[in-house]
Amino acid sequence: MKILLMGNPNVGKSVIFSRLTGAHVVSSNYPGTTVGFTKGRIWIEGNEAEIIDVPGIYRLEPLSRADEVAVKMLAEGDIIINVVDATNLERSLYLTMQLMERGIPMVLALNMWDDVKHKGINLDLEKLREFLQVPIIPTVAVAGEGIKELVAHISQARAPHVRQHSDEERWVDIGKIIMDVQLITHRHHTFLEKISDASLMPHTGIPLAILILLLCFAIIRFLGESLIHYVMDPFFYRVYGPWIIRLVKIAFPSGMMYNILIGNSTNFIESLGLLTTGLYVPLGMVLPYIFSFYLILGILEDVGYLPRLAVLADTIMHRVGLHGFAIISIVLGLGCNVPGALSTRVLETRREKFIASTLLCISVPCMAQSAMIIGLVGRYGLVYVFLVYGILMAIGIVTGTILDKVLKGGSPEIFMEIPSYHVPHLGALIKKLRVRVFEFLDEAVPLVLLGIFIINVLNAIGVMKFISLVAAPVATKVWGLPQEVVPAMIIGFLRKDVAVGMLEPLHLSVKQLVTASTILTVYFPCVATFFILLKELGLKDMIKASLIMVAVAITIGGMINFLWW
Amino acid sequence: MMISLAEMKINTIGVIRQLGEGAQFQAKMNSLNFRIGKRIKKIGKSILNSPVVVEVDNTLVAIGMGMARKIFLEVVDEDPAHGQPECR
Repeated sequence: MKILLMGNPNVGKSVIFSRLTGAHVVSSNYPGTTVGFTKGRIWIEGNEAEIIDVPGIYRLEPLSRADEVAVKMLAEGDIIINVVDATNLERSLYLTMQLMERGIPMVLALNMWDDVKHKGINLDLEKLREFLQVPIIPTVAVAGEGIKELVAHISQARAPHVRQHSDEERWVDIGKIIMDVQLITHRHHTFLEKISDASLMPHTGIPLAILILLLCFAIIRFLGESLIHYVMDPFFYRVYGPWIIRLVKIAFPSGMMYNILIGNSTNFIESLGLLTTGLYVPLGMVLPYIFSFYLILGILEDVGYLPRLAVLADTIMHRVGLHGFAIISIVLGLGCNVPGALSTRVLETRREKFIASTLLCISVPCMAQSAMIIGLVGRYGLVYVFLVYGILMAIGIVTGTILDKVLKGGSPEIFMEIPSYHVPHLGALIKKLRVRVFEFLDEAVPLVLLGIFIINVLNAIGVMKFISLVAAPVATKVWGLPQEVVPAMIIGFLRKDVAVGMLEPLHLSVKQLVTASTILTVYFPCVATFFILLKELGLKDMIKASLIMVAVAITIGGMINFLWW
Repeated sequence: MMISLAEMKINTIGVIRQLGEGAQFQAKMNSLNFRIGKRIKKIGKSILNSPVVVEVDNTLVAIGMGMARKIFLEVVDEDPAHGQPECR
């Protein structure tokens, strides 16, 4: 049996999915968090059933790729759990009616039930049940309220006969239901609503946005650096390091195996040993920043700030051929480019997706790479870190402006629901942070180890030297970098954090570090992002985007080299 | 008298009387409950062509200026603080 969790965007489907299955999925307070579908298992009266978290849609006529995924899933469903925002019943009823016309048995979860009273809404549940003739269960998914009742009612899902309606007929019926079921009383703005208004108006919202983003950066850096200095470095250099070196020395006192496992330096970034650099880079240097970034991002997401940022950024995003919502892809990309690339699915046109994906690869370093840039370039002063980010932002704006002018068509306008501000639920926040940290560990540690192993093998058989020689003219003459940065660029395809780490033993000047860090961001996406984009954009567009990246990398590297004061 | 949402003053309530042409535009509008006869309140004005923010039912919606120019309303209350029901 297949159960589909369906409903409008941002009504809490993923939270309910997570509650029903125990699966760890990321949910946030903005429309479009789920862009693909997630499957899980659930036991109903002793039988196992498959449950699918479908991307949110407003109606069954698709307007974006994520909508298409949702409509396609409908053909496979035996039962629908229709998740409805209790504070927005009228709009949710349109999709409800469309789903009922399909004749698939339905149970309705009336979510955000706790918000109904706060918003001055009175709902007559019995009358609503009479109208719709399906089981209706009030739920507060983030707190887990009503979930047991929901599960208990899945087997009682009903499919009352509803004939096909025209658009107008549906709205007439919905109007009748709302008149009988819902009563809205007047009330004054709450404190959160006043903040909500202030963060949306350009004259108050823009200074507030700058303040919030600077504060976020300061907190991420403070938390990240504190974890490195007070927890990770003491552990790696005082506890783990001496222990692992002693252990390996017992088995391999010296020689190739010792070099592969431990490396040839006491500095764990430089040594390039599997058990030193291979673990120190992802766990000692990057993990603290991943933890702090996703903690702050989780709070911003669950509070509901990101859609407001999208509205404020809309004007500037239009200059680069996108609309405001694309800022969410960029913010997600600052954590990891993979979810950033996936989130471009909610953008409506192929043109927008192409521009957003290209800009994401060119000017948005992931947190793993940022952690290494802050670690290496930051030694010379934060001003150089800001310089790297400033250059990347400028590249993004210039490239986007050119693409906007060159590519046919225009960017669609923003038309987006802005969710109410919510105080984040601590349990949900911790769960989401845990999911993201484990995703990073799952993906990063094996790839870092593989990357370092490949470096050692290629070094040993002389391939790195050969490639460095071939690419030397561009590296040395155009970028002003030693030819030894070329291996870093090759490994950068696997992991960008390892690539930036490989610059450490080269003892570059600050100018060279800024140049190399910028080029390593711009020139190509990492392997995980590459394959996601290949799937999203198709081969032809991916080749075009890749050529743009290489051209921009060569140009910008040369410009920094020749224009540096 | 009908005016476009782009022209409507901030903190004003209007009733949608006409939506711009095009089935896709109208479907898009309907998806967030922008329909003929719906009351909406404009709560944020546009600066440098930035989106307009309106309140429809219990929801805030950001809408690009080009679209706002294609939504025509009849103003029913210049200042909702004067005892008339609000949209929220």
